[in-house]
Amino acid sequence: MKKSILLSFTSLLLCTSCTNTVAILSKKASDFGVFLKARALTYLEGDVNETKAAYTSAEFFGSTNEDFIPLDEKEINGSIAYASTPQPSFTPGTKDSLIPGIDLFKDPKETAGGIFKKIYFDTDQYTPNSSEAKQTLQKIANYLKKHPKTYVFVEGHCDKRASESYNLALGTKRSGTIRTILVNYGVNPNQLFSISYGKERPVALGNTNSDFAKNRRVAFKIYSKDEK
Amino acid sequence: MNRLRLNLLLLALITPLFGTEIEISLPTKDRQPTLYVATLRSSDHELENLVNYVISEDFTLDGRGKMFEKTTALLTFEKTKGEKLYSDEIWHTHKIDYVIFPNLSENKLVINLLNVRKSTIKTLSEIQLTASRDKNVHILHKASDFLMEQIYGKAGIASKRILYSFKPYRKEVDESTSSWTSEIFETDYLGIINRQITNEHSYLINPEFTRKGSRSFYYEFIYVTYKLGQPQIYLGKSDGSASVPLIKLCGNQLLPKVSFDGSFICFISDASGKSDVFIQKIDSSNQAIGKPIQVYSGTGQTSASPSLSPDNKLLAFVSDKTGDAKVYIANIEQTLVSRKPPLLERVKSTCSECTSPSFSHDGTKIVFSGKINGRRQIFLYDIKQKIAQQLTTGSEDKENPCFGSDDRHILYNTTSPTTDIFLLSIDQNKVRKLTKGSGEKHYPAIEK
Repeated sequence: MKKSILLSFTSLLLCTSCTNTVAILSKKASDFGVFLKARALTYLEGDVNETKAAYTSAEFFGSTNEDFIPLDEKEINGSIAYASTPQPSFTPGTKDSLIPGIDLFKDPKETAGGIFKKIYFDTDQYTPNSSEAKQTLQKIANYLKKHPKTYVFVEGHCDKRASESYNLALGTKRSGTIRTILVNYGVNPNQLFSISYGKERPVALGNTNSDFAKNRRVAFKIYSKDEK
Repeated sequence: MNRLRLNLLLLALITPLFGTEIEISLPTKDRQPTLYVATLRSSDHELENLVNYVISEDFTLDGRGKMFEKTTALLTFEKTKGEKLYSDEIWHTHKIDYVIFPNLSENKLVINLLNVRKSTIKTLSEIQLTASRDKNVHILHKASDFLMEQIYGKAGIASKRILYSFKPYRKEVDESTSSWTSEIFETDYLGIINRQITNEHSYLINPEFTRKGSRSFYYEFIYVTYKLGQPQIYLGKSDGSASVPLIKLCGNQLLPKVSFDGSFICFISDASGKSDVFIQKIDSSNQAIGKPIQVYSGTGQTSASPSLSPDNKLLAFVSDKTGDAKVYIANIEQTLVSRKPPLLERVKSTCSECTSPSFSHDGTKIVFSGKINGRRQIFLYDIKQKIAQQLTTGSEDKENPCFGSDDRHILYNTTSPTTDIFLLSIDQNKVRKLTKGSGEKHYPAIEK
């Protein structure tokens, strides 16, 4: 209940106080200072001098995804779009993709040192729970901006307490949120692919709160086209 | 009672005036028929045991008839009487309504069904059994369903196949992708068959049968595979031939459910960046027609487990839009035309963390899992009366329920203390465990 009140209040605030603001990144928006302004987001279009306000994610990100017939987004969100980042227009490992499947992606410890640390979440949340996470994501973003031919699988995991099917959906939100944060830090969205594993791949098999906390995570796997 | 007597008196007075016979039928509660399955005796003891076990257990689990206990006296009687068994008075004496007589000769099974009251015999003849136990089990289940149709007027679900995802038990945690596997398995109504039908060496979940009416031993099914990384819905064949991606959509595709007529698949995807509900039209050869259609998108919400009603007008799914995960019903008929989001009706229940709704075949009920007193139990929701009823109790957590095609059985998996598949008979309030051994057996689906 608290979450929805916070979200509604934030939405109202955004509507009334800032006409250029088009999106809310997360329920815990204040943690990351993530009020997205249309004028600050035109890097996605390529030219920083050409600015325009965007009122739907299709306007904001461009029509990157024409693979499905969408709902009328203005009807969904009342002209304020949720800042989710549409998936790249290709799936790694398929015939149409120049990026291989996950088998060729590596644990980043091997190639990128300690930058790609796991990100942890509170119960049933999909935004990170610490300022350390923000720093980690900023470092990852900087690394990826310097290595534009490095591609990342962002893997969303959950603890065992919610149901199997709900956790599969929650995992998409965790990985999707981290992907969106990295995009907002300037990473090209086509470098990032999200995966939901739900609670299928725990790293701690016990039943303590500490085990649950270890399993509520986002982990990374990377592939670099530069490395042969 | 007095009024009934008065009416009968009036009828008795009027009848002679018209000189015709009037048949009065008063409503009576149908008596559960009593059944006896005679013992098959054969030189092939393995086959003999299989036939005897499958037919008896199929009828017991179906629950519409009362199984007459096989006493030593009756078994001796069966042995000595030979062909005279069919006409013997003993069945009348024991108030047995139907007797099933299986006979086996050179791998050909003949089953005679004696209707004791009418003294008629129906014969299911020349059923060719094979060298494959799994095929024989399926053939025997089909025979049981045929016999049930003769006795009750409606076939059972004994021959409906069941799919599930099996993840072997791992003692140690290993985060590497290659060591992390799960395949799709097939089982049956009694849990005799335990056949691996995929061999991808990847992680496979969420199996579903495609279009109904598959009469062959082999069939097509869909499932979710992680073999390339992002989970995608694939179409597979139980004969082991190569599987192919079914839906062209980027991102994660999860929790697919095939509509009752097999013409749609609903699923969740984050193609837009959110966890949205989509439906995909499917043709009669199980190929996708056109693009997937987004039917629900909740800002800041987690949407999961979509399921279509038999007429494909209603969509039940889970959303945490009010904080706790609840089941919602959406009428998507207009949404498909107008592209406006559907209005949602919340399924009221006493449980929390509701998940995995699934419609009954008659479209009047939804079965789902919810948490009550710290445990996940199965709930049955009556759509018209808007009442949810708790169906199960006990200390196991139960998830992913779906109806058998008779709407009298519910298939589900437990998640603690073990992860196994169970079949619940609603009428009898009895549960049968279909899987055994270590490892996780979950996400069950039953043929429509």
